[in-house]
Amino acid sequence: MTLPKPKHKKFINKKKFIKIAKKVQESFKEEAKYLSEKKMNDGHTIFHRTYCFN
Amino acid sequence: MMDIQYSTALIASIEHKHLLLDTNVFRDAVSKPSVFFDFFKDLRKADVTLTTIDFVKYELMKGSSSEVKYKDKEESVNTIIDAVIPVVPETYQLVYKLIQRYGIAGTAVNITDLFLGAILMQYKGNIYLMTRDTSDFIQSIFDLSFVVNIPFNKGIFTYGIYQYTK
Repeated sequence: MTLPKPKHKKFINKKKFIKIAKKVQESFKEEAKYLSEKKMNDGHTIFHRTYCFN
Repeated sequence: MMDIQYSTALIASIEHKHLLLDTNVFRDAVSKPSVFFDFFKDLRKADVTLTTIDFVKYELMKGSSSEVKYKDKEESVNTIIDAVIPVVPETYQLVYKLIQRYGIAGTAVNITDLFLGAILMQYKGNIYLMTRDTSDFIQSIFDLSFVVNIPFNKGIFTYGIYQYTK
């Protein structure tokens, strides 16, 4: 098995790259917020279950 | 303002070779696109093939809250890479070998990192890995060939450029 080697390397436009990067960064921020809220909620759930178990 | 810092020998060493990118590199690239764009451009000028594996793409794509956001992520990844390295039956077998090599240190290593490591084992001198996860790619298994530093607002991010030569 050989490594894939494209015939032509991409030379993309910097402005275009920055524009798409900004949009994706917003998505990552949204996901980080969701994760942080989920962790907080799950934490409460775990605490609640432990509390009930005891 | 200080930008990306790396040894001048880096480009010469990885010239005409493949550079495998870990998930954190893509995440950081959208956070500091101008710096990473110039870095990737310099690598391409040296005929470096920028690559990743599907496991890294899965990590990046998951969590997209809409189809548009999913497509934007897909476009950003495809803009950076030149090719995706396929995971083949040999790669799966090398993961088992790598797990044995890690021993107890492999307990916390995630599946994606195991596959990235297995790809390094598979193609040895022809490929390097760039990752910010410098604690899981232990030097008793992988060679830390170079270090790349990029200043961010929250501090300096250090990336390891690893190879497997054993």
